[in-house]
Amino acid sequence: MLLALALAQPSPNTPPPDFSPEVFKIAGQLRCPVCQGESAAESNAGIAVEMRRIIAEQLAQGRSEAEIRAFFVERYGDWILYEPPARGLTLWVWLSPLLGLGLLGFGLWRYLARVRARALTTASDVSEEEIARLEAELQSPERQP
Amino acid sequence: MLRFWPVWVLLLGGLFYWGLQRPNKDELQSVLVGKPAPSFSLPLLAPYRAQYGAEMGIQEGLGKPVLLNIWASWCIPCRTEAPLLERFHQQYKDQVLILGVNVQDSEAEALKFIQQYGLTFPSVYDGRGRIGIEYGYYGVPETFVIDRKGTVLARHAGELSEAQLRGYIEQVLR
Amino acid sequence: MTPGLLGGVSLVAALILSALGLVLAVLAYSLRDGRYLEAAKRLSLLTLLAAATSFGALEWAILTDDFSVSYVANHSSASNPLWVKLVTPWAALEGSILLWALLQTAYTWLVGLRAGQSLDVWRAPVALGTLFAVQVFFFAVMVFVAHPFDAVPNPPPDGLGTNPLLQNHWMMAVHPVLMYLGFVGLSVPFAYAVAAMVARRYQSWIFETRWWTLVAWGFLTAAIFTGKWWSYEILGWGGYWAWDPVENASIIPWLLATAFLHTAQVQERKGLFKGWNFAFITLAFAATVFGTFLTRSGVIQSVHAFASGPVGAWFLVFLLGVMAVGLGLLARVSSEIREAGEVRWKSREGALLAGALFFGTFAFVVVLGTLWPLVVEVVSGAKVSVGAPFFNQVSVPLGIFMLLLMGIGPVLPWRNTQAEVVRNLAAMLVALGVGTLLGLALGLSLGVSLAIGLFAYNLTAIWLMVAQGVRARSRSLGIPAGQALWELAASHKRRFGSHIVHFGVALAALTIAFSQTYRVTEQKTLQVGETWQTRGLEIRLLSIGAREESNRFAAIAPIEVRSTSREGWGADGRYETRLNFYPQMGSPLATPVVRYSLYNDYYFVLMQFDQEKGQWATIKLIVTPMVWWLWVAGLIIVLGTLYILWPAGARVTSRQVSPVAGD
Repeated sequence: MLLALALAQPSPNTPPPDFSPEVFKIAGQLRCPVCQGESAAESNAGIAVEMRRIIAEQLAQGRSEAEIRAFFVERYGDWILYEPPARGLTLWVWLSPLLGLGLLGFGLWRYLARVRARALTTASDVSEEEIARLEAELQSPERQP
Repeated sequence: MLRFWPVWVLLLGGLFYWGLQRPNKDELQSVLVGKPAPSFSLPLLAPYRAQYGAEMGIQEGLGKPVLLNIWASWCIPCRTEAPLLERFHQQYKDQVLILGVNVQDSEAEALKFIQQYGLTFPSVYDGRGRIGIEYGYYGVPETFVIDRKGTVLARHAGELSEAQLRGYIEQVLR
Repeated sequence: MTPGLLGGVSLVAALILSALGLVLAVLAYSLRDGRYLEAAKRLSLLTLLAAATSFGALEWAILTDDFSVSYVANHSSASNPLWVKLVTPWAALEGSILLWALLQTAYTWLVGLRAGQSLDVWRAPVALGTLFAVQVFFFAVMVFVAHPFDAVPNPPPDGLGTNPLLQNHWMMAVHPVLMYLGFVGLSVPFAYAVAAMVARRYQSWIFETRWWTLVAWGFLTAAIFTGKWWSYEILGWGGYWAWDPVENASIIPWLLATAFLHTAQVQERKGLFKGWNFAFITLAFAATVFGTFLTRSGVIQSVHAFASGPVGAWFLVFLLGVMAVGLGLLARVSSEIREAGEVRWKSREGALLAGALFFGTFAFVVVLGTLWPLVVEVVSGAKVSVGAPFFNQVSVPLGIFMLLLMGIGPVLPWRNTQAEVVRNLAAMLVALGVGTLLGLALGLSLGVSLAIGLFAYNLTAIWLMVAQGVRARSRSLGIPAGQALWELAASHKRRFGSHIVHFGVALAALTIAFSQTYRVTEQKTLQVGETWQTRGLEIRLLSIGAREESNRFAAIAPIEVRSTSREGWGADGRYETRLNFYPQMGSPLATPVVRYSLYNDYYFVLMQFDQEKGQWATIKLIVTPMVWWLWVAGLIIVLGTLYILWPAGARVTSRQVSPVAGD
């Protein structure tokens, strides 16, 4: 199928309609279905041009942005939206900033607590050899053998 | 957490392995399956007008199962698929309607293609692919299997093999 | 000798030499014998020569149009202009791996030069061994699955040609090389980290690794900015960053390396955070491999993907191997890294850690967002998309926090906060408030106003830092302020360089806020001679013509643009919008004409034209503010990095080091 898409798609010799900024704004949130990861605003594939035309027509009919998006979701499913819906399995991506901050913050907190506890107790359980190695370590690199 | 590193690495590896071995990475399930097929009526390409009238499409009262085939003259898999569809059309034309929808194409190129493969099943012309979008197509060829009541049973993306086509026809005639 | 034969033989030689190098490094480590290390170092030069020969052979084959070499037959054409031929080696899968491997051998050689000197004899064999192992992988991939020099039995008269997208702009010559220099450059910090963990020396690796990481980071930054530029000037949609999986894959290692560059200072200063630094470096290098895996396996849909093939599975194994080595070693030694100390949050180290926390979180979000469609498909079988609108939204709060921390960090001292610091922070907050209110008063959106405020805030921070340092020095030494600034800048390269980099980042954030918020796209079909009035511009279509060029055919629609109001300031001129038709591509490729000005960029794209009578043309107009300044910001960041890295700075760096906790 990809091979087929690489072939010439004859473009009809009629001018496309004029598109307002609003059209490109909405198209930018929709996936161009035949492309490898381009939005309907970026792609010049015939289907993307037609999608922009549909958006322009629906805007002219007074439909809202949400209604236009729903129109495409009805035909393609949520896949067509570059902004995943905040429900079900894709709710997790929306939570990912909090999740990441929470996980990393928790790790950092536990680490700092441990490090602090260790600073309070004296380092008595360190072997001679380990101390020697650590001391060598603490030299700046230039002065090492 | 770090203690379980083999688990994390294996999970990631498993995910990617699964992703790599998928037979068809780009396959998209149609949301239309199990729902009524969107109705439409489009002008037929010239060679079919004498037999079928000026327009044709999916509407109530067809009384026949339909294989809706979205194609274009510039699509390579369509070239191997067209003779196959033609053969099945000859065999099943009384029981099943094979209806082509020519999308993203110029009419002249489409007519040349039809002539070249001697296609007798009707095709409508949808130069800008509007009906294709109504059906949620994401490439050509694509085939929608629609039963007698007008419900979409399946969507096949990509070229049909003979066995697959036979399977769909049996499914729809059942 | 044909180029194909020479290239193939030298590839095999490079593979064998790399394997030998690995064996020698293992021997040097296990027998503790310096002679093996010496031999491994020499071998690294031989490997570099073999790889360079192989790469040269590929260039030779391309330049002489030798279509008996598969790579040339598939990805080049006799009609390509000279510069396209010169960059063709990295225009497709096999050649790009060859370039990668060549750069890897160069880095290995450079590391070899330091072995036995700053890289001590306990760690050197491990570091070299790690790099040789990485090389073995890349050469094995080429020899066994992605061989550039396969012989074509019946050479065609001409090749299939180079991907048109890649020959449409000279940036193709620069961006991929920078990207590989950055990606491959991160293998060195990884090798140092592995060496430190194997040799169980957890502190000393950080000094030199910071330097290596900064080198790779500089290249990566330059690559990301040139990539943005390329995509802006070529792809014709008026944007510079689409959050495509492959773009994400380049930002993940950048974020992790940035996190490391900040936490490394805490380790240098206080000996803390050793384990985290190992983890950051391992993950940063793993992220580069992850990016390569994505582009070469087709596991996730992307515009940038190379043709996929069996290479994907190889890269997957390599990715898992890298993660297993890094994390496995870290898990083994983590109980042994006994760090002790206390972090004061209201000090420099607190801000650095918080910064690293946000960089880490950002990386996590990008990884999760990139992989989530695959996860959803595994779990439910459904397909979903996670793209630009999502990432743009989540970047805003994360970006705001990072910009806030970027201002605070350098202002806070390592020791406890003093009165002067509190005054500085108050001044910065005032700048933040005034800037934001100014933006709102000008009628700008809240986000953009906040961006102005944050820019003023960071500018104030840098100004206060520099001014107070200069004042103190000029007073105590009784020298003029200019001389004091000069001396400070020369003796504190790290600090001043980081000010420059931070300024560049603040400027970049400002331009991103403006351009993302106020980009406007419009499209209109014009008859020849017709004038289109929009956004303070008057656009007249002059004619429609065609031109035959060596590697393509172009349809050209010249337009004349006049600005009629302040909104269209700086757009005047005559521009040739064009569509390029490449024989190997069915649909034409639009090359936008970009007119930069100090505020708005005007971007004209020929979308379609009357092929029969030449009477009309469809023009897309994109107006974006401040993109030109984004390139300036990128340049500033790279120059700041260079300033830090400038050799005289190295001595200063090591003198500043005080690894013992406390001040």
